[in-house]
Amino acid sequence: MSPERPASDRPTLATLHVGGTLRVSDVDPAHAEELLREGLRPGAVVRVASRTPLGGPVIVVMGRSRIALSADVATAVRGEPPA
Amino acid sequence: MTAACHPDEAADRPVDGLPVVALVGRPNVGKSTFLARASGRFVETANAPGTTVSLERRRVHARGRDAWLVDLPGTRSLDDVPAGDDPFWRLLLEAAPDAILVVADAGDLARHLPLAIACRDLGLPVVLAANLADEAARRGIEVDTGRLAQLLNGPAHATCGRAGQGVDAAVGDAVELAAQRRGVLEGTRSPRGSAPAPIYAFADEMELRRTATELTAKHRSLGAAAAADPLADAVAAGVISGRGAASIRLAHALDPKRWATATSWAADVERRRDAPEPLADRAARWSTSPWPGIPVFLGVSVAAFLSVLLVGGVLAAALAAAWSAVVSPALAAVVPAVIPVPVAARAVLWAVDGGLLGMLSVGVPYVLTFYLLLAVLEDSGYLTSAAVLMDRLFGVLGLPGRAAIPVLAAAGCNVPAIYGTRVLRTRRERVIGSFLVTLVPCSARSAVVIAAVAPFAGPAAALAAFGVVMGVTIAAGLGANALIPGRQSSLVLELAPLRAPVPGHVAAKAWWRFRSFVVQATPIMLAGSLVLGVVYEAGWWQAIASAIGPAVQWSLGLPAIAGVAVGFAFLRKELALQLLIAFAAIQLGRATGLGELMTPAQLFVYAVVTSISIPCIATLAALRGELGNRAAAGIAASTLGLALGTGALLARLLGIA
Repeated sequence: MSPERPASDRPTLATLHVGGTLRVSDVDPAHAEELLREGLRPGAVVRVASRTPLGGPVIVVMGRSRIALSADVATAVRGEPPA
Repeated sequence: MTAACHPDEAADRPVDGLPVVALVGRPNVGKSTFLARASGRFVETANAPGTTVSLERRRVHARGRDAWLVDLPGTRSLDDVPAGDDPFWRLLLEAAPDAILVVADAGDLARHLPLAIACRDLGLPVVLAANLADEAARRGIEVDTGRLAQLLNGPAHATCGRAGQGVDAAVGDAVELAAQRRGVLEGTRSPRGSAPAPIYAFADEMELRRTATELTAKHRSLGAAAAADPLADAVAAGVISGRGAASIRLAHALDPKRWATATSWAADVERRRDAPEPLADRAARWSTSPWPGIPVFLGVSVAAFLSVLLVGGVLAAALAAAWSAVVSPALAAVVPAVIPVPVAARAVLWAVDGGLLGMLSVGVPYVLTFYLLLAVLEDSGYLTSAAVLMDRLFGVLGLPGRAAIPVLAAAGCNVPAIYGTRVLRTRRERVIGSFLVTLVPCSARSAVVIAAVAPFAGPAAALAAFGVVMGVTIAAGLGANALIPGRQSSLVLELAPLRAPVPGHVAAKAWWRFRSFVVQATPIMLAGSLVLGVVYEAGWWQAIASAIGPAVQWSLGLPAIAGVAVGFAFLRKELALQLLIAFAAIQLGRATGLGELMTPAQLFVYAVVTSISIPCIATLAALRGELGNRAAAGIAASTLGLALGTGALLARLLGIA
């Protein structure tokens, strides 16, 4: 992870391609509590499994669980490709 | 509000003094199957937003002791609000458990252990069931339960609720620990056991201690009334320790540490080997991908609609035949003998004969069939996947994808579909969803549209009538989305894995819903039919017809009796055509057909207006029960306005008004 890189440059779960993996670096505080209940917190590694039509929810995989995130929530999760 | 607000009720232990074990777990972990295995029975309780959650208590016998096993809704954390209005910890404290049995997913411990750690922090004995061990094994994951028990400072078992493996051992340990704690509380045992290894940093521990002292002192210094703090109340009532209460209060700060700890514990106890991806996982992945997810969804929807229609149709015909062969003649003989006034007797016959038959021929075939199907789709885990896939398409109507199923179900019968909107989370979504549901023509209204239009104007016209109704429904959804304040809620939803449905669970779910439908709808159906009978038998409809005649003629271009029939179809939609023919026969003094009564264009307008206008009385009652008087009246008025507006417009386009 390169901490000097500005946050806005890092990919979010909304921009990452299907099949791509992300180590979460920061989460918009507005959604942080809800996302923590699913384990989506800084340090967690997630993979984008699929996208639904018309900009619908993104399905991400954590461990063996699939979690659906609406576009506004997916945008709130930023990270870096894991080393 | 639940009883947890009152300190004396928070400690509302069963009077028999048996130890209490609470069953806690994340959603989709197979907790209800686990409970059924432990207690020998399936259960379904309604937990809808805005309702008080009722807790299911089961008496179990394990290791020579009796105990209560209390089922709690699936939750993701102690301060989550999984159902109703209260955070989970309030429900948990209301149950006043002596031990907690945490049901976790053996194949996904990193995501399930944070809840177990939070339960451990309450200071109550905790037993962990690493459930779904069979599914985990198929994914190449074995759990070292010995090591897990060490870390958790409590027994851990690998279990499989479906097969029953390990369930008795886990429940037995929980009952034993609960009985020990009960003994300590009652002074018949001395406390023993070791404190769990600390996982929090020094600063967190200090904050826990400070908060615990504060919560413990609150009652002593202020008294129960002045404290007004359910956590302080629970401490004073001995339900949990001061430190336990403090761990709930500080959940926000402690949860990230619980997740970090869970991740390292999971890595410590999981033994992984390579395994091919199970078919269920691949199917789950497909179900949310546009291809083949969308074609599959369309196929499932059409199959669901057709099977309800076909199975329902066959059952309805059989029940109606049996009824008119056996029950109707008996009622026709008995009722006039009991009620000497002929008009009154005939009106009562409308209610008990026609009303009960209506109930039987709609309720059992269509509603029960649909509930069974819905339960299968839910229990298999497919419903949430389909819902997510359709989320954006329904989003333009202000609804999440979850609304797809009730809206489709409405084509069978609106009433169960309105109860079905309980799957929606916010009131806004439920109001919009219920509004659209009432606009979707149910099987009774579809039959009216087909029978009124197809024979006289051709099948294409009948399709056009459905097209008009569908267009109005979509326009109404767009309008409601724009007019009703609020916006679509953000979605963070864990998708259930796909599994073979458990028949007992499916049956329990369908039966529970069906029973509440029968209880609510039967009196309304009887009363509606009675009113209809009185108006018809007493001849009052003729006065009504002459009063509204000019308005109906001017606005819709329809004869006066058609207006009366539309109005009274409110009581029994499926009678809209029979009523019209009956009225016409009385007015003309001879039997007549629809074609003689109205032109094809008039029949078209009549069918569309009947289909859109005010929902039937059973639907209205369901709306009232689920959403309250104001929303129900608003929806009814909107549909009436839409029906008259559409009817007037069509009448002008078709040149009949």
